[in-house]
Amino acid sequence: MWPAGRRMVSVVPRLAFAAARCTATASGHAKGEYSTDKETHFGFEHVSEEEKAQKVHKVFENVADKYDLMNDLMSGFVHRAWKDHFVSRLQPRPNTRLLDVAGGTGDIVFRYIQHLRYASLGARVGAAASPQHTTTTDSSTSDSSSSDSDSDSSQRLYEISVCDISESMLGVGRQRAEALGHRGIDWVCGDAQKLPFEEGEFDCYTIAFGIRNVVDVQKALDEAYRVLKPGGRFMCLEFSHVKNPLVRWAYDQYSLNVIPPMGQVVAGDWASYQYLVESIRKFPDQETFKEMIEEAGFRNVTYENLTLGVAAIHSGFKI
Amino acid sequence: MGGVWRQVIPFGLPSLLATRLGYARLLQTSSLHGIAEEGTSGPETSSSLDQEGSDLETDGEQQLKEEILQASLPFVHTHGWSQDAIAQGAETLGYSSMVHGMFPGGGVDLVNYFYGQCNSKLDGSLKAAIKAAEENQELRKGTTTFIAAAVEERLRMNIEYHDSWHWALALHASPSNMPKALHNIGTLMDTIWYHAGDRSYDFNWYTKRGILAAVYKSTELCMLQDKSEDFQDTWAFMNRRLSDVHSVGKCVQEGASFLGGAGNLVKAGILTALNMAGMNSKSRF
Repeated sequence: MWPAGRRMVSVVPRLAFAAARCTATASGHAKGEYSTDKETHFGFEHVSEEEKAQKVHKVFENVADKYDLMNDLMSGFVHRAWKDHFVSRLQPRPNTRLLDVAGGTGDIVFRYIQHLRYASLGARVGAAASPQHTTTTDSSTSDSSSSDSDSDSSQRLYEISVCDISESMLGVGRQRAEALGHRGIDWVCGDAQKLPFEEGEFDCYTIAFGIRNVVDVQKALDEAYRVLKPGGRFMCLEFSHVKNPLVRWAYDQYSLNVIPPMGQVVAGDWASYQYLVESIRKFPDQETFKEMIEEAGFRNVTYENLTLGVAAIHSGFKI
Repeated sequence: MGGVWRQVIPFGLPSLLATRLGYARLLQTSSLHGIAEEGTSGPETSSSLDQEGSDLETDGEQQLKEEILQASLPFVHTHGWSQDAIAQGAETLGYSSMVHGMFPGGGVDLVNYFYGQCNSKLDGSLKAAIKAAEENQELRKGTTTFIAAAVEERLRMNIEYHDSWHWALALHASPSNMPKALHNIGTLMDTIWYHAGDRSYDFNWYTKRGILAAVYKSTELCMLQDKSEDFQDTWAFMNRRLSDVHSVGKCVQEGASFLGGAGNLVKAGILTALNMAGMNSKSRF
């Protein structure tokens, strides 16, 4: 069940965690974390926290296999550019550990790996070749999907963990990783509000289009702060608020009138896409979210709008 | 014929700038302004990553950035002026290498920091030299000598990174980094001229700094490929450029007075012609 070539060092405590949690709830969200009294919103509906957790989980179980296709259709393929830009802003480095939360189908981690591969290729071609590099240079240049460099455990190019609340989403991600030949990614089922990782484990924490689905965003931010090393970077890509009123009107019309029917036709699920669209509107705007990140303890917090504010990249450092 | 070419001395912007900059430097004795926060190019939708939604940095963050850049300088010899050097520097301080993300410009932030450091050092050193000269008359230098010494001192600070200085200059030449690069050299020129005693309040303020910038830049480039003992060729080059400036300056002055005389002559000629044509009846002369 566990992919070959995983690091064995810290696997044991995490295995125990994951096994206990995933069988207990079959969803991944931590029982006891959510109250049945406190109210929150699920799209435009008012529900209790526990209900929201369950509903969100159900949404992603439903949409998992059509998730990538729907992303392409809904955003007109622009989400790919957003994610490319997100990873290029991150500027991945070798010998660092990445945690991608709510990264079920693996979009961010695959780009991260590509980035590292190309960066290391450049370094090898440019620098004087050292003995262990000359053997891999040829294979890397000839076959871009070769996994020679990353399956060799003595020369790990990356150390990535993907955490998602939904097993189905992780399943899709595992399949895609197989198809692309990326090995050694750690797929973990878990809750962003209570991550199954130790303190100070990761160099970067990314969350793309996932944080608005979290029941208590501040808790997720606190957890992010906890699992990062000093100097670690938090980066979040999320839908945000459009300032320009004309553009906002057009965007609203498109979101509320086109996306749910499209969801019905393509994925057979109107309600899930209705939720998706509504949750975007309920999420705080750029400045408010920035303050929430600072509240969690991050510094040098900045944000950058993409496509006039339809999406935004927030970044903070644990310094 | 008392036609006078009145020389209009433009007060206003140049004088304001001159006094403000001079005053500003009195306040900025040891502040470091070499870190480029906003000089980087952004994506297609926004002007820059930092400007949109980043408040004024706290002093703590600014200090930390400076510490990281200071720790990264030793790695320039091995990694050049790049993100790698910053990542290595951060790691020596105990931070994750991802902290390089705080410097979106990458290598150029390191270059700007170093440049700012050197400018501040020069500022301090020139002040001390002036003070020493006040106390001891023998140490007084002529303007050109003073400037030559200042330029040499500043360029000597780059010797430590001589091997990778071409990389630094290439980074500065990039269009997105040019505003900050121009700011750096502008501040440097202003420092040197101010301490050399320039208090001009007219267009000379610009021309003096522009000329010195040209001399400085050409000397810097000459230094890049200089292999002589202690860069003797570079200093000789610099002295030749400065003496060129001197002689050009004298020529320009003479030319200006010549033009003044020529102008009078032309005016006289026109008035004579008008008189002869009988069109000068309303003459006030």
